Amino acid sequence: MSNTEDEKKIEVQNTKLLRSITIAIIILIATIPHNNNPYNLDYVTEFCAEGITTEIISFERLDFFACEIGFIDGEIDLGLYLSKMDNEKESFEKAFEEYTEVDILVLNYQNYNNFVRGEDYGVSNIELLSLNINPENDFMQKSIDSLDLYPDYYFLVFNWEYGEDDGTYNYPELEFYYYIRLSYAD
Amino acid sequence: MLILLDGTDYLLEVYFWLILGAILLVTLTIVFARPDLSNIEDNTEYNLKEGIVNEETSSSDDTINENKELDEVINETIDEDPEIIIEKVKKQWALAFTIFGLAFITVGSIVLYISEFAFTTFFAACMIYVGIMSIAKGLTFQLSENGWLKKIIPIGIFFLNLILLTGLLSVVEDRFWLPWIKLTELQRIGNIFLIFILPYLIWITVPTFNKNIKEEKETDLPLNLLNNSLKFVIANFVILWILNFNFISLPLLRQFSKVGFDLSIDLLKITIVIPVLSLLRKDRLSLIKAIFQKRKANSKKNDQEYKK
Repeated sequence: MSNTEDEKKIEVQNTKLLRSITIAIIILIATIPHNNNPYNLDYVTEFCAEGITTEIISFERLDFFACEIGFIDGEIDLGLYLSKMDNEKESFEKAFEEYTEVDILVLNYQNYNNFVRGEDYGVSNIELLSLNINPENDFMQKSIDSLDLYPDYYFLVFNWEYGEDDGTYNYPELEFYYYIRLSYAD
Repeated sequence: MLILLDGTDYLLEVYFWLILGAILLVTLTIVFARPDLSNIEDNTEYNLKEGIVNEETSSSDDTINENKELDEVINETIDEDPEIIIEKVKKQWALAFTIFGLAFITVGSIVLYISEFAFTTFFAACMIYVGIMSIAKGLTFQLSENGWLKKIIPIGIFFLNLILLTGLLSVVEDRFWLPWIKLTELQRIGNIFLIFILPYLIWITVPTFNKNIKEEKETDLPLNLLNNSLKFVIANFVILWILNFNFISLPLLRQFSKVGFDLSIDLLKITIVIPVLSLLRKDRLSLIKAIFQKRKANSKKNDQEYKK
């Protein structure tokens, strides 16, 4: 094979390589977890932290935090823990100036999609609704035994007045600790 | 499903459908093995060239013998045409996999029917699994290397594998039905292996007969790795996107495609580094080459000037 043919082949290979690299970079940018856009809607949500190890999450008032539980089929025992971080007392007082509540929801895939889109949605757990968190509470803990869920894919959502934005105040993003404990009921 | 298989009627019905499916696959294999109809039509263009015919003496016995030898050589050359050999080997492989698959399904079904022990039930289910995968693999031999069907076969194998693992093999089934957050690290690795790596291994163990594709794959490994990662990302994204519509509810598939999507993004991050480095290395080499060529040219020029 002549040098010209070799060079041409290398050039073609490099062009292919550059094209693939460009596509890969676009995909990687589009799937950055906190870069919300219509293309990564709920594909980049992470799996929930299960067990006794707490995980730090951050979200602001008029927004929500969601994580994926996975496929559940049957009766489960569910424990939830949510606490504020100590160094953010001032920010909390500002954010909770008025009475407010954080809804903790366990939503199936269909309801989660409806929730994100701002449409009407159903909840799979009436027991967990409207759990309050305010400046006086340092942490919130709730356990529910024998929660009967039909076979589906579930999400855990901390809803802090999501979709009720009136545009009057830009609330700061706050950090929380949380964990979820899940076990199949005997 | 195995609970259903305990009943004789269900077992016979399942066996019937498996055999029917296998026959269908064999039929499809034969259909795909046939030459393309468009190639049968003779569209060859002939060029007419004028020539002069001279009268010559008739050919002697020696000339006849020479012609015979030449014919034999031509025939041998035709016989040894690599494409024909490849087609023959492909057919042999396809037939071997189909017979092997059918035998496994038959034996597995008999074991499932006769014995009721947990181990033999699982063993028989495994045999049926291997048999079905073997038939699917046999089918791929007859597909055109560059055809669209060959390109979507990996997705088909992924779904077939998922259905068989979740529906047929009861031992691993329990682990599959747990929420992902409840699984230990080892169980997660095991599930990823069974759902993603196993069908991929089944796919790549099918030998490639196309020499060009084989050479291309060997020479451009970084590009192939990156392209495969991209395909993996896109396939998972498409599944997630389809499931995003509320008209279809396949929660277990959602779980695995979500895991697959996360995995593919991580894989993409790794595989993008290799081609970038390779590209930089290539650029550096071509830069060094260019510098050396320039220096060589300069030294030649200086020598010529010195001689003058």
